[in-house]
Formats: sequence, structure tokens, C-alpha cells
Amino acid sequence: MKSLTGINLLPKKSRLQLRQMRIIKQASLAAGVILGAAFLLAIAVLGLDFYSRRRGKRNQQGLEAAKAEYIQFSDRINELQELRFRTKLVAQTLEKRLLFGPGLTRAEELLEDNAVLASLSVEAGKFEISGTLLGVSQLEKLEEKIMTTDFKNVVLENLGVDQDGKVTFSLEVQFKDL
Amino acid sequence: MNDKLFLRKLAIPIGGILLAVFIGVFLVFPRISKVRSQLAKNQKLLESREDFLQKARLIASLDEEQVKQRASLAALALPKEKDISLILYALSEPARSNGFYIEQLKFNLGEITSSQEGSPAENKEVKDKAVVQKKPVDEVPIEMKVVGSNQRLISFIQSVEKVLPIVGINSFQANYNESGRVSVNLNFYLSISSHRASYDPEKLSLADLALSVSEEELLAQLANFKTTSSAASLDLQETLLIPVGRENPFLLGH
Repeated sequence: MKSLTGINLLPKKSRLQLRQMRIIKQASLAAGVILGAAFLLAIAVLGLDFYSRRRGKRNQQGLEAAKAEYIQFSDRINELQELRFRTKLVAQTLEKRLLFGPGLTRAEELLEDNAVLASLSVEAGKFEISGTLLGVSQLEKLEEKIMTTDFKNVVLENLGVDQDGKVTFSLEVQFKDL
Repeated sequence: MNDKLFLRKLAIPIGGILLAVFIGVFLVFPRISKVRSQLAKNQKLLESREDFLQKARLIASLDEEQVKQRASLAALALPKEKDISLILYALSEPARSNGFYIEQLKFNLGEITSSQEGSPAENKEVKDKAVVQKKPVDEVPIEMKVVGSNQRLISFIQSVEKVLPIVGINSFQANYNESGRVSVNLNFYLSISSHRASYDPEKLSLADLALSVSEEELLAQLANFKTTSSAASLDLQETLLIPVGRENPFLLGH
């Protein structure tokens, strides 16, 4: 005997109607879920938007208050900035300035105590020294010091010995590190 | 159910889905990007607020008295104006403390102009020129002749280099005589700056509100320089100012 399982005994038209009803049902369910989700998402986003705006306003107020607290020290801020600005200018000025003290000390050390200086001038890092030495032995000592001191440039401009053995000299020196 | 009825019934869920798509495209997605930027803005506001609070706390914790002292020290090192009493102090104090006397002193503070003189157009031209030519630090050239003991020459020069306002030596010529005296012609300059700090207080960072190590060191170095006191300044004004003509009131000694 032939099995009747799987054989729809309904008329063809009714079967089509049943399928249409099922499609409508499924489509309605899907639409409901999607629309519901969309509404929920919209509500969540709008809620978050509202919350973040309110939070933003509160943060803005907090910032204004913090700014006001900071600005109330404007006198001190101004004083401090003036100090920093002037300190920067002072640093530039000191950096640019040539110091003569150390060079003078070293130039003086070149000569023995009993040498007589006639003139000493300094310009653009060049030291011009002229004077009198009491004897040739002092000249040798001067020469020795010149040889052992770190000079960039040494020019003996003038050298003379008189009848008493006194040596007059004039020299120009430049220290390497000054 | 005929086909027409089926399609009509199917239109409702399709319309619902389309409405959901519409809500998503035109309402939810644009709003999500807005919310994201608003949240980022909120975070920024919080950070700025914290930054201002930290700066306020830092400023409040500073020793006001120390800042004032240091500011006056820096202002004394590099005066804002061509103050004759300061110039006289800077030069006479090293001379006096080393037993030198000033034989000649010459300095020129520059042209003196009145704001009421000249036409507005001329004034504008002068103003424009000044803006172009203005350097942050100006130098007042000074010539001075001093006489003293040759034993104290180096000490005198070192004192000049250690006095406030800051003095820079361009050149000098020392002539010695047999009696142990030395006559020195000094050519130097005094630095001044009328510039002021320009800044936006709100844009200052925390680091801008504290002195750097090098600035601290420099100020400590300046504290070792010899400075004038108001009494000394007054004293100088009373004893050294010489009344001269209007045509060149700052040229002293010939």
C-alpha cells in the first residue's frame, strides 16, 4: 500500500494561501523585531546624547570655576612670567658679555713683581702690554712664561735694552680660552 | 487571499522595516557620531579643568615674597628704563670700593622726544621706525676715565663685572705712572630692556609656571652680585647729579 505521508491533501489554492499567511506572519515578526530594536537603539542614543550634553554643561561650568580660581592669581602669574622673561634676557646679556677680569689676572701673572708696567689695553680679546723689565734675566723669565702659557697669538711689537740694562718691551697676546 | 491582498498585507512589515532603516540612517547613526564627539569634548573639558586646578594650586604654593625679591633682582640686573641713578651707581660703586676716583664720565641716553611734538603723521613714522628697530636689549654706551692704585686695577675691573645693573666692558686702556697710580680709560655699556613678557595666561603650561634649573642657577648667581640699595641710590642722586642744559641733559663731564 502506498504511504500518504508528505502528500498534502488540501487543494492547491488553499496551500498557496497558507504559505502567504506564513510569509506575512514571519515578515511581521521580523519587522517588529527590527523596528523595536531600532526604537530601543534610538532611545538609548538619544538618552546618551541628552546625558552627555548635560554632563558637558556641568564640565563647562566646572572648567569656568577652575579658570576663575586660576585667574585670581593673575598678579602672581604676571610677576612670575615677567621674572622668567627678564631672566632669559639677563642670561642672553651675560652670555654675550666678555669678561676681562680673568684675562687681566693672567696677563699680570706674566710679569714679575719688579717689572714696571707702562700701559695695558684690552680690545676684542687682544691684550697689549708694554713696560720695563729691570734686566735681561727677567726678559728670559717672561719668555719662558710666554712659552708655557696657552696663547693663541703672541706678537712682540717692540723690544729694546738701554745702557743700564733695562729692557723696554711691548707685546700683544691673545689667550686661547678667553 | 488573492495576490493584491497578500501584497497589501506584506506592505505593512516592509514599511516597518523601512521605518527602522530610516530611524537607523537618519537618527541613530548621525547621533552616535555626535555623542562620541560630545564625550570626547567632555573628557577634554575635564582634563582642562584639572589642568587649571593644578596650575592654581602650584601658583598658590609659590612663595610670593621670594618671587617678588627675584623679580626685583632681575629687574635691577636689566633695568627697564634708562635710569641715571642706576647707571651712576653701577659705575661709581666699584670705583669707590677700590679707591678709584672718576675723572671723567660720559654717556648719552639717546634722543628725547615729546609725544606732543610733531604732526600725527610724523609721530606715526617715528613710531613705526621704533618698532622695526627695537631690539629686546638696548645698550647705553659709556666712556669713563678713572684714576687709582695700580694694585687695585684688577679688583676694580672684577668689581665692575660683578655689579648690578649688568655692565659689559668693550675695551679699556690703562696707563701706569711711576708713583704707583694708574689711569684707566674704560669703554663699556649698560644693558637695558623695556620689553615686557607677552603671554596668554590660559595657554601657560605647568612647566611655564615654575623656574627652570638654569633660571634658578642664574638667579642664585645674580644674588652674589653687588646691588644698590634705595639709600645708596638716593645718596648718589643727591651728590652726583649735575644740572645741565635741556639740549643734552645726559652728557656729563667733558
